[in-house]
Amino acid sequence: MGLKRQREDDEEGDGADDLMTQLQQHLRHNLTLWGSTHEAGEKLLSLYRSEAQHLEELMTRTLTLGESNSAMVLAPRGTGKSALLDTVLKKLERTGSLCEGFVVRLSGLLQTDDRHALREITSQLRLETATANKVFGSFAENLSFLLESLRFGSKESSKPVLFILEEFDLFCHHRNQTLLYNLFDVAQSAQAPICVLGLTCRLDVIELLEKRVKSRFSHRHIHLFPPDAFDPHYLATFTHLLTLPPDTLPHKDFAERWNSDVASLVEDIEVRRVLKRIHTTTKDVRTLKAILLVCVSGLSGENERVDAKRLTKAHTLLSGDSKTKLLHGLSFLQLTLIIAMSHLTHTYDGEPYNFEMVLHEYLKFSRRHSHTRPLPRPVVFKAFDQLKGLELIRAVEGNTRGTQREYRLYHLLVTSEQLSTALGTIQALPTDLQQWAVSAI
Amino acid sequence: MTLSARIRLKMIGKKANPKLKWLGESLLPTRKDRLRSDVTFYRGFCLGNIPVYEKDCVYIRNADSSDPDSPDGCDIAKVLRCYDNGQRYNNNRIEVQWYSRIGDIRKRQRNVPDNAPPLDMNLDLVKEERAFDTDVDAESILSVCHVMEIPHDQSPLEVKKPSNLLERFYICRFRYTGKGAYLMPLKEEVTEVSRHTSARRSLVSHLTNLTSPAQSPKRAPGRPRKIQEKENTPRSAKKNANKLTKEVICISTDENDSEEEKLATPLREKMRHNLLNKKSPLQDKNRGILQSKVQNSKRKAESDVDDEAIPRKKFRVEDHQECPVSPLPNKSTPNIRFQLKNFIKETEQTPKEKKAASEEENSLVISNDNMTSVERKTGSGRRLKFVCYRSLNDGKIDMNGALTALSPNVKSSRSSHVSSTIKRNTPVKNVAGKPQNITEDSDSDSSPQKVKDITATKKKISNYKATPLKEIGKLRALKDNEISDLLGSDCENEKGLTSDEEEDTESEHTFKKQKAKSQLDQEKTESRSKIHSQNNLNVATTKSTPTKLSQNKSKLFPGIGTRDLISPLLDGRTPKKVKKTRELKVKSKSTVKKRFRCDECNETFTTRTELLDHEEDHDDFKPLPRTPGRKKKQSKGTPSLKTKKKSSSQTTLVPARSDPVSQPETTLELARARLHVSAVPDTLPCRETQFHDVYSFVEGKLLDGTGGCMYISGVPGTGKTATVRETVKLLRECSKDSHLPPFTFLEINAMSLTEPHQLWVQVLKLLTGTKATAEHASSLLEKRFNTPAPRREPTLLLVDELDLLWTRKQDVMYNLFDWPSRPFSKLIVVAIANTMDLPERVMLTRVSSRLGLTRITFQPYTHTQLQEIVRSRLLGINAFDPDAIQLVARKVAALSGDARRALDICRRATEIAETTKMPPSPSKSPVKRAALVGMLHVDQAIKEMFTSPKILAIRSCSVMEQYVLKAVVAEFTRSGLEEAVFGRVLEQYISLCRFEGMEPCNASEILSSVNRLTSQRLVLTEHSRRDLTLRLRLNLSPDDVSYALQDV
Repeated sequence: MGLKRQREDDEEGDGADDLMTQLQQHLRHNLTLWGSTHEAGEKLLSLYRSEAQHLEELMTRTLTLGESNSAMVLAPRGTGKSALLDTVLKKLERTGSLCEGFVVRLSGLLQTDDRHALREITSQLRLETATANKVFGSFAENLSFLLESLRFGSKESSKPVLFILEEFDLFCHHRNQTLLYNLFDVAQSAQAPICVLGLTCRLDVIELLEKRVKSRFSHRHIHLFPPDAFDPHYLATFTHLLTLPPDTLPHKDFAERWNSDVASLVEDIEVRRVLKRIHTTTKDVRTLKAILLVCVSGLSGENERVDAKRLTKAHTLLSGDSKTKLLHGLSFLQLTLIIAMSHLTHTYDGEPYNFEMVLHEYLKFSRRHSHTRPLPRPVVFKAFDQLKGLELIRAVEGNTRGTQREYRLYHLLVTSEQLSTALGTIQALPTDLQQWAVSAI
Repeated sequence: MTLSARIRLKMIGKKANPKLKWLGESLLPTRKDRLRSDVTFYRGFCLGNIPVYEKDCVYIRNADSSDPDSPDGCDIAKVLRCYDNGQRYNNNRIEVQWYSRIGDIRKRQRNVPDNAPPLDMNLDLVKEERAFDTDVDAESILSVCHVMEIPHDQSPLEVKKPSNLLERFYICRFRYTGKGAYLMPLKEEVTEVSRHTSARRSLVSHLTNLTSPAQSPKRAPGRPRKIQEKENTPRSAKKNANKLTKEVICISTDENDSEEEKLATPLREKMRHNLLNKKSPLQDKNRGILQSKVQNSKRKAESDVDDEAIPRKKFRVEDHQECPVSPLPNKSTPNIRFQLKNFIKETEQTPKEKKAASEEENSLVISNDNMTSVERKTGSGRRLKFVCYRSLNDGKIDMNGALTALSPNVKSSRSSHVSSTIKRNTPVKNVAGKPQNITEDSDSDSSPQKVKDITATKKKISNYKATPLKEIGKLRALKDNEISDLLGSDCENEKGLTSDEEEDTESEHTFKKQKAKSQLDQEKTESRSKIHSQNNLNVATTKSTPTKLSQNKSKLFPGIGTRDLISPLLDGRTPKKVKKTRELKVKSKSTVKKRFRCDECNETFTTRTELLDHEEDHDDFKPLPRTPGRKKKQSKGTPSLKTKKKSSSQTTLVPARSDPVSQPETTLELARARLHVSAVPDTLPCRETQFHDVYSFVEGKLLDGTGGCMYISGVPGTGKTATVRETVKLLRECSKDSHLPPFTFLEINAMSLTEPHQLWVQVLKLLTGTKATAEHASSLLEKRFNTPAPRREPTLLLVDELDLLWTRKQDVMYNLFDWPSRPFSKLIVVAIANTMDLPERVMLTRVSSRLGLTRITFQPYTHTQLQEIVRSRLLGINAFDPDAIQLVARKVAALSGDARRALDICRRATEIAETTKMPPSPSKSPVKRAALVGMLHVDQAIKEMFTSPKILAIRSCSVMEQYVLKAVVAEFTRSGLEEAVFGRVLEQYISLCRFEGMEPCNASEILSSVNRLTSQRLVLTEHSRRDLTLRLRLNLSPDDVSYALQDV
């Protein structure tokens, strides 16, 4: 599909295509899943004004007064924790107070243990130069070195350091929580001024902290709750993501036309319906971004508008059920087996079953419908095995050693709804198979 | 039997092996020592097969070093006395004068005066004048070595090791007091103490110097001979031994001269002649004393041998002090002059010297131990006396008396009388401010111009150099009739001086007196002008009147008779007494009150600590321009090991900020700064009893010089660590004021260790600055805490978060609590952990039994205590409504009793008060209305911190997520279990959606919704691989969910 579009694009006139490519570039920048543009940041700031102010004050106090702080920013995924923090940091940078300090960014996903975290801190603090002549030895040495360098700082003399720990909850799983303890301890004692900001989506992160670590944490929570309302907020987000900044494109009239198109799009009932649907499913902006990215990427010289149809298509493309799609690719034998297992699940009320039972069902079905000759047992077993590989069925956990493969117990991971949806869309499905499936359900 | 126990046994056994045997008969106790009836003094002893005698230099095992059984791991000291203290254990003691290797002193203090050759790391030693315990177990001696004291400007490379010397050979050129940027030459440099002190001391130093030639420098090379002699003659009789020693001294002098100094004989001869011809009372006295000594060996004072011996000895002193002269052979007086000129140039080039001199002044107060140690150098009773003075010298006076007593200046003054050439040169020399001054001074016709020169140039050194000499003279004059008293005990011992000698001395006295008088006057003017310029509190006038002598006398010892003053000096052989005397002196002289002068800005201080603080300021902000290399921040008065550690960490600082921090301005900002947990208040309220307990425990152990363990428990935030730190702060102050012995404080937080065994590494690093692997460190520490080390300070070890030191074998904890019980460890362990029953619950019995029962529990703060804590921090700041504080206190006390929490809430409340406008307090009280932080602010802060945000989080979820939650609750109610399978929840969800008239999402979307809920931990799930069989649980009660979603 992509190739085809590419070819079509090539045949088009260069002027319109260029324009569209530029447009896509700009919008894609807006629609990146991670981070945010300046405008998006401004918008976030306006959404979370008080939280942003709190953060800003906190960091400013560390930077200017040398007061050590610690805080936790909590919000569900995709709300914009990092983006908000970035925006605040940018603001501080603009006002010049940030140049006085260091920012150390750590992520629980990257620094999976304290050893890595310490190395990262050392390099981000540019203390490596100080240790150039030293061979950086063991973890213990690293730790004592870093602690020493922080300890010998003082409120007045040393540069403040902002520690930003993304995925903070993962740091809690480090051994003994050594890093967290020491960071919070520095923040609670008269050493080098530091500000520890943890970003996490876990609301119960505090419970993860050991009691002495917890005691040292200042218990300052900054919650970002995504705004509830669909109408002003979500639609505004939608418009904002698609709107072109006024002077980004050379063709001003094109940009204006695009923006007015987007504005009218919001009014479209069909568009609203799709957006409402997305909004009810999740408030994660990234889902919307992903859908819009599909829409924007599909634009070309001749289809230069995002319309309801495109949006719906993108939505169905991204929100389709994975199992249903998977069922489309199965052979009739495998489908038969799935239906048989669905029957079994229904019959035994969710109890697991083994291959022999499924085979029995299958043979029963084949015997009833004389035109299909039952396939030999090894073939059926192979098909069953493939279903297992596709994870449409799942072996029951527990002691399976010693039992033969035929007698191992399985669960079906396809609901009857998924099955019926899939069967409804598969073409050239044998009628007796269709009937069997429907009769059972 | 544990490994460590076995090691201990082995070590003890090893230590016990070299059997100590006293050599010779016990000595008669000296007058001072008679009080100590149980103590028996000996001349020497045999350790294994090593014979050790008084004045021998020995290696003493330093258990704190990495390898105490090799010479490199040992400290070097000179044996002053050996005795049996009559006790059952560790009864074989020696008193020592410590020497330190160059490596053991701080780097920045390793500077030598400009005219001195650089230090040789391997060869050079410094004489230790810091307060170390000089009483050492004789069995800690490893072997014998050899230390030669030479003038400071002699290059260590030029010194040849005596050929017949088998032992390791060192030289000593400097003294080290632990202060100042420069090492001080062994004896030189008059400092700027007020004239009176120096005057009084100069006598002492003078007397001392008489003996000094016979002591250290000559004694040292004499050692091989001594051994020979020992071999030849068994030391059966004391007298005999004495005599022999005398001989050895004389002979060794010659040897020395030829060996190291290579002084031209003509010059020496000349000096000698001068001395002999002039027969100054000083010299006579010297001679008298020396002769009296010699008398023992039945020698005639007038005999040639004696004559030769005396001047030589004197000249040796000169060598030590006037280094520039000595290394070059001078054939005639012009040559000397030339030499002197050279020297002048040198001195002119080195303002450092001046500094050094003034630094010496700073370091006036030196431990009594040191003095004692010096004093104990004496073997025979007679000598003891001189040494007693000498010890004073070393402490206070020697520094002043750089030019002390018998120093070449005296001689040069003599020679100036004889040879006019030197006289002619005096003005130049005066300017130079070196010994030449004395020549000038000795001339009664000192021209006013010269004086002017001197004062103008403000050559402190010259002045001070000059003073002692003159004052020596004067003192002598004063003393003459008293000298016999002074030396009373000596005379008794030695059957008195011969009467003719006495007469001799007296006749010369008068002559000397006159001379001294004139000298004195001149010097007085000089020194006074000097003193004035230095803001010293001397009351002296600048006028120089010839009649001042008498005044001077009285000034020298205002309020106290000379005799009173001096006799304690003489008798004061023990540190205590000497100290007393000194105190007396200080008291008696208001003029000398400000004795501590900073060498960088001429400020004076009354106490040493003040000066130290002041000096630290200098270190921080104004590194001396002349100091090579960067000055580093250093802790004051700490032993070298600690310093090492600190300096090494210097480089690793977080970069310094460029802009200064802004200060809190508004009331709220100030309150916030005070409320920060890190802002430790001056006193810790509500922890007084615990503070007292910890303090008395540690204090007791410090005073006893023993070790011990203490266990402190308490929930987080109850001030355990803070209390101990406060205690240590107080203890430090006490030890600074010398109410307590100095100690080393180590703080280790087990949380900052990566694994328990790192404790050993950290302890070793903090103690010695060396790095080692955990195993090695453990064995080193084991060794350290097992072996006696006289120079070891008690160690206070604070171990925080003790529970983290748990290992399966519990070897870390075991050792930690076992070490304090070792006899020599002097280790005090304070362990902190959260749980009260940790010793019983976690530790093996053998560990917890070693921990002992000294335990303190910090109860969580009650609300009144919390209130008190917050209020004490906010003292003087009127920001909080008292009821608001009470609310915080009660809330926190009900939850945890964690002081940190209370402070954090208050801090947050100030922020809220700053940013948000709250309606004014409804209270009618004007105080409450005026409070910047009221109940509402505090309440909001408490809410922010304590309320669970889960309800809010559920309300902010998307509609489908809320339906999923509802479905979960519905499934729970259906099944009656608190756990649901995703497949079932899905069914519930679909039916729910149908019921609500919404199109249900497909299973994939729902699964991702569940995952989002899981990421917030509203729902707990397994790995989503399990798909339909995934089990779900709610992380909050189903009622909460229903409550949150009631209107959805």
